[in-house]
Amino acid sequence: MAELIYVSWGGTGRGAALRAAYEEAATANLDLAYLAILDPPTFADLDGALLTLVADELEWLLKTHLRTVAEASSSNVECRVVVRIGEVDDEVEAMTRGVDAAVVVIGAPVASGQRDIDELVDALRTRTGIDVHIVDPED
Amino acid sequence: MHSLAAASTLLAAEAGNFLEQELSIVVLLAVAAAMAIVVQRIKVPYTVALVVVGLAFAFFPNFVDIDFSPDLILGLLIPPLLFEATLHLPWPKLRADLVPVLLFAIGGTMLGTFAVGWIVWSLVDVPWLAAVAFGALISATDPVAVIAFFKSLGVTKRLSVLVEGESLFNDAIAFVAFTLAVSAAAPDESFGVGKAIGDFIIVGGGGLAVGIVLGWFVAQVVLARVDDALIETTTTLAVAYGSFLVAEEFGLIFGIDDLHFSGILAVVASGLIVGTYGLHNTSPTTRLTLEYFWEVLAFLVNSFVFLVIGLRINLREIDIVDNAANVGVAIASVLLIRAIVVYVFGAVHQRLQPSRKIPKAFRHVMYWGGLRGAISLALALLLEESDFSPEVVNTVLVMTFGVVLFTLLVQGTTMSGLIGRLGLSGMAGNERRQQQMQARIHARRAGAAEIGRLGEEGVVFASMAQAMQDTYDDDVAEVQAELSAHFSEHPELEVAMLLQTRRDALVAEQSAIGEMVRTGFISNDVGHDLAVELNNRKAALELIEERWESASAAPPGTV
Repeated sequence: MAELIYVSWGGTGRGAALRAAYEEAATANLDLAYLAILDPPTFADLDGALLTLVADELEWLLKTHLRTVAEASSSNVECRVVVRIGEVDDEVEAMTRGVDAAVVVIGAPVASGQRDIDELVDALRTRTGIDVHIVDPED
Repeated sequence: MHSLAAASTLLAAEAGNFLEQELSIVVLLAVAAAMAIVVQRIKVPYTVALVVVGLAFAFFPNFVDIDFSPDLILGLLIPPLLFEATLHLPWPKLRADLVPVLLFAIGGTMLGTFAVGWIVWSLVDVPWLAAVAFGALISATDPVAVIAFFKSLGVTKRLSVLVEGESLFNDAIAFVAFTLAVSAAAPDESFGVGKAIGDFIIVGGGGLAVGIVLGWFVAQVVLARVDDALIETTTTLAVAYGSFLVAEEFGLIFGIDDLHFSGILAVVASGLIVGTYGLHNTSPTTRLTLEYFWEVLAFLVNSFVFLVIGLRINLREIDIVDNAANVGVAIASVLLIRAIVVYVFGAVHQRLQPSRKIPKAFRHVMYWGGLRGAISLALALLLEESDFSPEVVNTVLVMTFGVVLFTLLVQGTTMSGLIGRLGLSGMAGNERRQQQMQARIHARRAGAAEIGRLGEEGVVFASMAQAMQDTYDDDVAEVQAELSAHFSEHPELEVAMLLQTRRDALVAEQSAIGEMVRTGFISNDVGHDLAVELNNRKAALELIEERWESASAAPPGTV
């Protein structure tokens, strides 16, 4: 089945945004792939071994978080977690290339580096060729 | 016969003196414990309460009689304080913010030493080197009270690492600068900038080298190969004092005249090495024993330093009017230079590391939270053995005490308000409410279980027990619904709870492994490997938490 790819990095991807993405996937009858990116502005100072440990632990945490969201929801969405290390643009593009991605949803724009969020959304649309938007927990 | 009687009189006098000292120590311990209980109720920093009580002792001169020489304070009490602080500051966290920490610690201490020294030398009647010594000793910040606030208010861990890291290194650097200024004041010494910098590098570098070598030996040889909580804990105590002594007496040990390294830097280096590499090599049981031991020792030593210093500053003998202007100059200069250090060096750091910039709110807390404490006071007491005149020593001592008292009583008691105003403790209220609800659920389930037991044993009618259990179930369901609504309103709490619960689960896994080793279900080697794996997972979890917090503290609207 086609997937909604929910992307988080740095300080994004907290509870409310993840719930909204989950419900969006349920409404659109899509599976949910939670793509967490360990990006250079936040994790560049960690060496290889430490970064792998962080990626493993993050995967465990996000799987649990996703289960919590799924259990609280009345909808039933097939979910998975993918943790990748690298630049946000590159990793989102690589992820969409390998799967049947229907839409890319970005967590609430909190922080990570200095880049403008709209500029990033435009860049991702161009590189992936699919719909990219920011999830709004208030919707 | 007469000499025997004289000897026995002398012994009796010594025994009497020893008993008096012992009694004084017992009194101080009792006071420290009592203050720890009181401050929990009145919500004043522990160190503030200790200083006030220590000062009050001046009005009861016969209440305690304790004779601590300055050398003893420095050699006996300061090494464990620094060692314990480094033990809990793991390298991965410190490394992430090493640039600002070193910038504030090295740049800030050097600027503080000379700029505060220059202002004091210009306005107070003390010689240049005494003013520089004051500038150095007053540059050592004390994070104990501030960190206690951070913990109780739920402030981000990155801020704690910045404050503790800066304090750790500036204590060491301030001590080296202070020692150089005091030794330059000796009659046969001359003071030159080039010589001072050279001495600084030798004394500081030598201290670091001694600490690294001894810390590495303990971490990689003793802690990695011995599996005995008592032996390993004793070894960490030995390396805390041993690194200080070996560095300070390096020349004496190796037969080189007048060669001394910085004992304080040696302790900091050995503590960092043992904390980073050594603790990973210990079993869960040893790690718990080590942590408890150092926590208790730090509590005792902190209490002693503040109480003993309060005792040494005899308020009744100080001419408050004469010294008020000097203390005013000292406080103003310290506040001014601290502002320059935090805000100017903070701006420099922002240019050097834009991706790791320190939010403005953090800088305000670092400025106002630059309290002074045990190290500054202990160094000031060392001046009693210097070549400065008693009047100069007294002036510096009173200025130091004035600054410490001001920072503890004024800055220390207003920190909590500042943290609240800056929005850095925003989650505390919500978290408290979350914890209240979780505790209610847990307590009510325990109550229901007890009633079930009483019902089964026939102590209570089965029908009554069932009715009470059903009522309890309704209560629990009600609080669970409230908790669920609370999480919907504050989604950030869900992540905080996830992290906290994961941390608790990893600790439980660690205890389970320790238990399996203890009962012989698995070998020591297997237990050790699993413990290392768990420690790595805990370190990774801490890093994730810290990065999430840092990213959330950045301005909104950027990604």
